[in-house]
Amino acid sequence: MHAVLNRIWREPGGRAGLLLVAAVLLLGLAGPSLVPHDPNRLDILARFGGPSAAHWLGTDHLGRDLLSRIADGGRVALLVALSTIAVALAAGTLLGIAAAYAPPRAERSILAAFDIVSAFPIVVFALAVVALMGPGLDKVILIVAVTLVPHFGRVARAQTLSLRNSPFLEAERVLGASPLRIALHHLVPNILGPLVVLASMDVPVVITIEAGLSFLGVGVPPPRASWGTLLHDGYITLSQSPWPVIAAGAVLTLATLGFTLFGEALRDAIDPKLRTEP
Amino acid sequence: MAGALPVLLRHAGQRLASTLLVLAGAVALLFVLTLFISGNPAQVLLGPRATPEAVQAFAQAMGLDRPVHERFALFVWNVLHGDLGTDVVSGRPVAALVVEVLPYTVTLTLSAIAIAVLFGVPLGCYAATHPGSVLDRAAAAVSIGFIAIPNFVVAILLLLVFSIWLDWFPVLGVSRSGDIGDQLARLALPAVSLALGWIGYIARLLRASLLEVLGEPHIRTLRAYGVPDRTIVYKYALKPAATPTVAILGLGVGRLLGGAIFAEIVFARPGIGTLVYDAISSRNYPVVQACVLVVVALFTLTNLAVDLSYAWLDPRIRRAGDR
Amino acid sequence: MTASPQEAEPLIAIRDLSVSFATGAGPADVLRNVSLDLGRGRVVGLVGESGSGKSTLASAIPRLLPRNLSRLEGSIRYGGRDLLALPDRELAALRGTRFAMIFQDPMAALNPVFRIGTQLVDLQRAKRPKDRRRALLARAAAMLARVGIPDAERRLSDYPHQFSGGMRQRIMIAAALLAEPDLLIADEPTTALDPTIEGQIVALIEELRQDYRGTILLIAHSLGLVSQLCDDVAVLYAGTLVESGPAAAVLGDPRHPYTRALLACEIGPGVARRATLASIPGEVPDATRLPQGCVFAPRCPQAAEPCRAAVPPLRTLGSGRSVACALV
Repeated sequence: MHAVLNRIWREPGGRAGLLLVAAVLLLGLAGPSLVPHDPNRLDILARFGGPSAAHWLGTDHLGRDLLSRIADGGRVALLVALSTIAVALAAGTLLGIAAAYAPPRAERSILAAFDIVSAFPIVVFALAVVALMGPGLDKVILIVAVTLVPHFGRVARAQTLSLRNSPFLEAERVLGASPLRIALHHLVPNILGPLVVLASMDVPVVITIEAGLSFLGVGVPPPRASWGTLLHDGYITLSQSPWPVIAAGAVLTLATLGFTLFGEALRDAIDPKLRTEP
Repeated sequence: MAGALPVLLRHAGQRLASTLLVLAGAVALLFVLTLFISGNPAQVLLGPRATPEAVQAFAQAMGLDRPVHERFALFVWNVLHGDLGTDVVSGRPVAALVVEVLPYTVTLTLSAIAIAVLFGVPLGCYAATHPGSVLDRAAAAVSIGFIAIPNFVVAILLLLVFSIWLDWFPVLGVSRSGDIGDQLARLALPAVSLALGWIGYIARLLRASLLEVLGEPHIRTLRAYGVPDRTIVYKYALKPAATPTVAILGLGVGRLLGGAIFAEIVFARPGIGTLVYDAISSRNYPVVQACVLVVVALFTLTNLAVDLSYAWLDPRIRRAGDR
Repeated sequence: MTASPQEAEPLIAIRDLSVSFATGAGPADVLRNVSLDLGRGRVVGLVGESGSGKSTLASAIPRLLPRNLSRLEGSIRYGGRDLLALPDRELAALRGTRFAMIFQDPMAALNPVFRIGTQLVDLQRAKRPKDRRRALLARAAAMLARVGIPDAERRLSDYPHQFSGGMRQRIMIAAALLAEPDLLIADEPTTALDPTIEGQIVALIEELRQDYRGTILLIAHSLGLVSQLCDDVAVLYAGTLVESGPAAAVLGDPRHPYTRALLACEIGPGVARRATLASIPGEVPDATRLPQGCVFAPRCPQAAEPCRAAVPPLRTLGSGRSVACALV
């Protein structure tokens, strides 16, 4: 762990990524309790304010403090990103391992299901689901997780296949370990590296999707702040004040940039061979 | 060699079969989603503007109390006949609504791909032939920036800078007139907002695969015979290097179509994106369903085309059955 | 065997050539003060183990060296000019017109996604910039037929993977001959082929000597191949030229202990190339950590005090022979 962080820190891109990720974590986790304003407190008289001593990033169309709302949105983005990826990683890994061990027919069905889900562009899939079930944070997490499952599942399957006949798993089997025990204690730790890399590379993707869905008004419901809803509100009132869009857009971009750089540096540090993976 | 054509046809046939399977699966999945409807399914499935009488009639006609497999059969039957439902108030088939706006979305997407290729390919080639140069490093930094910034943020910022501050481009919408200049002006910003990330993406992918190809022995052969660098890079290295890039672009078309939705909404252009957006706010599910189906079909068919293009890019695949 | 190297002006005169590459373990001195003449119209064999620097020496002439090149010193004189001092563009103009190359792995030397005809047209372009594509294709077809590819005209539209390894090497030979070069560099042209095919290619090269009278630099793993094809021979060990001269003289009466050891190891042509030096104790020194004095001294059965003290210079022995050994 320490060695990996060290290797990331040595690359300029990795260092920038690490710093940006740390900043986003700080903003999302500690930010909401540090910022001087209540993110939902209205101050109509102070609306559309530019950056000032009282409001560092200015105020939105209802006079709410943008910095406070962005910090609040950061918490939402992190919550969605981490829980989505945790769900997708767990489900994808299990399905992938199952596919590798399943009889050919079942394996084909699982792979076909992966193909079908992958045929839905994520945003489009999310729109279809939300149109039916109505918006909500839980649904966003669920939908995006489902669309990411094939991503993890395919890699987990390939990794399992390459390990399945390795001597140490063979030995465990001969010694009578149950398939579940083998999967959890021996397989998962050995295939986790590439999956973690994949997961870290998906963080910026999920953050972007959450913001996008919230921008379309089908993600995080108001009045809860999300970077996407901030951008949407700012877009509606763009001709009155550019500040909400600039502030929220910049933070969102820096966050995705940070996680992208971090993910790539992590990949290079853990397994440079993964570089060729799409 | 005599078997080349049948091999190609068989390959195409297999790919077509799996494409159809995926499409069938997508239709099934869309149906399964309707089982999770919250509220009155008949109301949602008919759309928001349906009268109570219509809802009643529909519920009976659809047999919402009938077994799931019967409803599924009916759904598939309708889709196969191009019947994606009827918009109750206008009385127009939903399929017609979709077909009407589809050209706008396709134009936007194709323009974005064209822009991305036009800028991304030379950038990637330059970076690969001058690794470590100032421009290579600048391109790498800019590329990753382009990739990281979400396209709807790009769209809003472009709108802010070029339409509101500078007033260079018309703000919103699409030209209904035949004026090509006006149409292009209204297409430019949305297309660029969509293409920006892809410029960086293509440049990075191409740089990596070009660097690999340029290190291969056959490139050394060309150098040893005094073949000009331009011919080496743009002819002999670009073609083998294009395969992985095209593969990933094919997968990326899905994201591109998703991105087009945002570009259309931000720039208020008609298209699948705006259609689906308006439909969602009124929970007009038939329209959403139709749009999703069309996007999925576009995406899958693009991937089919990409897959078949490998045969052109790499003759080893085309004639794999020779031996 | 018409003229010995020093009677006529050599085609290529290499003097004190030193080449180093930057590696993770520091600079690797791949060639050290190599001097060698390539006589006009002669077939010069270059032998040595893998890593002895033979390929680097061959690629240094048309300056096709890898990017991690860190040192390039000495001179390579050709036609009154020093190739190492020539501007890039002038040197590139010599490639494919005066110099042509054949490579070790014919599987990899041709581009997999272009037709043979297209590649042969572009490989001739430097030599004949004004000819029409059709004329170049006709020349290519004729040359393919000459090197023994049946149905040559039709096969121009085939891709490399549709040819066998031996056929691909014939195509590379055709490409080289199409350039009508002053110097043809053949970098282990038969190493990647199986023995039957190797024999066919060797026979082809012998046969083609009737038409092609230019100089050939043949890099070879085995002395057998050299005795079969070459007029002159040069022996490289760990980046140092240890012995050179007319093939018959050097192979008949080797002076350097390394050449003797090489000859002793080789039972016959093409046999057990990988195990060439298994019978000499020790191993080839790492190019990043060369020993003081003679590079062969650590493995040399006759090594004495002067061998370890200083690098023995390459000395002329008369009748075109040179040797770098303190004991000769």
